[in-house]
Amino acid sequence: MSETEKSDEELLASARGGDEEAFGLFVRRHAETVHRWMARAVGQEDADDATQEVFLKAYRGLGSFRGDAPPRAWLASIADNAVKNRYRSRSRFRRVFAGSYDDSPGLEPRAVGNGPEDDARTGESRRLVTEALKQLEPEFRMPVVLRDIEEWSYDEIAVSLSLPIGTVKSRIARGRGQLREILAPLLSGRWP
Amino acid sequence: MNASTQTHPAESSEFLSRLHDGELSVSEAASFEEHRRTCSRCRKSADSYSRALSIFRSASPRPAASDLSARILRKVRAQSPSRRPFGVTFGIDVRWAGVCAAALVVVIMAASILDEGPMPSIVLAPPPAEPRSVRARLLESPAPEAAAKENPAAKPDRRASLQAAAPSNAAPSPKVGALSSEVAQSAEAPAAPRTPGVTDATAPIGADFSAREEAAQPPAAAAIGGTAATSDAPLEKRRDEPRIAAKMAAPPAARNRVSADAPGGEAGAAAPPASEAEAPVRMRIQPMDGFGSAPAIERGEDFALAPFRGREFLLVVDTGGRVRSCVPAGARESDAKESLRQRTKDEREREDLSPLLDVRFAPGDRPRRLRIRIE
Repeated sequence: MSETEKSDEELLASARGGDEEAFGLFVRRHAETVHRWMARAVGQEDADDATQEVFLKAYRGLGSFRGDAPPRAWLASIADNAVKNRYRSRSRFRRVFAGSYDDSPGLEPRAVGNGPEDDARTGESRRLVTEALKQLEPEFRMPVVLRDIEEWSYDEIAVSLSLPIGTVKSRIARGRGQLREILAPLLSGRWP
Repeated sequence: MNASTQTHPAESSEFLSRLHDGELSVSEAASFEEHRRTCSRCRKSADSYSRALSIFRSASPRPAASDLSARILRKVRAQSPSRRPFGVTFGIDVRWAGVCAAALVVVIMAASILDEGPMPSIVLAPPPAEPRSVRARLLESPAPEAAAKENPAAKPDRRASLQAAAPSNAAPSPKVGALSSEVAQSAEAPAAPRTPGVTDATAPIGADFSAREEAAQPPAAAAIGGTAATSDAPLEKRRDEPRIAAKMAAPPAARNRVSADAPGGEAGAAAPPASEAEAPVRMRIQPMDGFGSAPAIERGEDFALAPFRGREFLLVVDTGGRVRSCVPAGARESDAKESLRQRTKDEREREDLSPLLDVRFAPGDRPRRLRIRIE
């Protein structure tokens, strides 16, 4: 069996045994997906760094992968922690350097279009949505992304993030609510 | 759930989330649809919720860069000190393995070169000095006694034997007599370094002459120096033509090896005991093919086999009793295992086994494979 025919579990098992090529193939398989998650969770400009961070942590944590959950769920868990850690450290940084650090760049004026949905399909609206997402609580980001972008079930998300399903539902509902509030100006046409 | 959410369910994020996911019960869904038609606040809230999620979903991010995977792998390699670096397979660092392999090759090559190089005197004897020139000089030159008288400095001493054994082209000392000079010239020839005093079965024939012909002399005299012993011996004895002729009639290799057993040719020291040197040659034959007893020897147990004393050979004998092939099978008792191991393949190939090929056995009805030991 060639490397490309191996399942994710087999690739990770080989990588645990020191097969660097197997881990390389695993990265190539999932890099696009993880990048998509991170572009939503941390923003487009940080997506590359965040994606690298996820795979680096995955590589270092190969020994902890026991195969009781799908590899993509394992990656989602790592991504969730990466997002929360990233914004936890930024919050600490913001506290220390209060007044000298502006982490909330002003949103660009919304482009003129036929409506918000149409505008969202444009690059400008995409950037606005990304900026809005930065205001979402970090702990809500990955659950919302996995549910509304990746369309995972609640069970899958709960297993991936090692959370009770009730907590997952609660976080997704609250995240969606925050999202609506953040995007309200865009929806009402009051976007500056 | 507070009063507001009871009055306007769309004010609740949990309710909207369940609505969006289609998780409301049939009755809840029907009730909300009824309420929504009459409540603009809930209708607006539900609509904005759906549109916000629609925007969120539709704002697809830019695709990842094509080299993202490569960059990730580079970063993984660069920042993963806890794991083995790339290039390490099965726990073996290929780079170090290559270095070790190269070092091993060098060691093996060096060992083989040393093995083929100048051997310790016990193994690689120089090609024989020209026995004829020695003999001719012995016959033509004045008697050694006369030379000794002419040059009193040419006393038989160890220096003469050392000079004879020396591989250099240095001229013999003027203090050394004519015979010593001649011996030195004889020993100059193709010489590999030899160590005086070490038993050498492949010493030149001249040494054998001295050793054998002086065997009757006291060992101490032979030990002091073969040259001196030879010089002091009666010339008539060395001119024992029948014996010399017999030796010269032997094949060259056999002549070269006729149990010189003394280093430095005529200048050598340790002559073999007379009993060993003059004992008759015997062959002990052991059939190796299981076809019965060994065939009788018709010809061959003679002096020509003397150089092979103590050695064993594997012979293939045809039905006519002729030896078709001969391969050394054993070691000379007098040789240490170490010296045999050091003997090079070339030397073995150069060895002239023709006296063994000349041995004749009684004809038989089938080829035989025999192991013989020369004693």
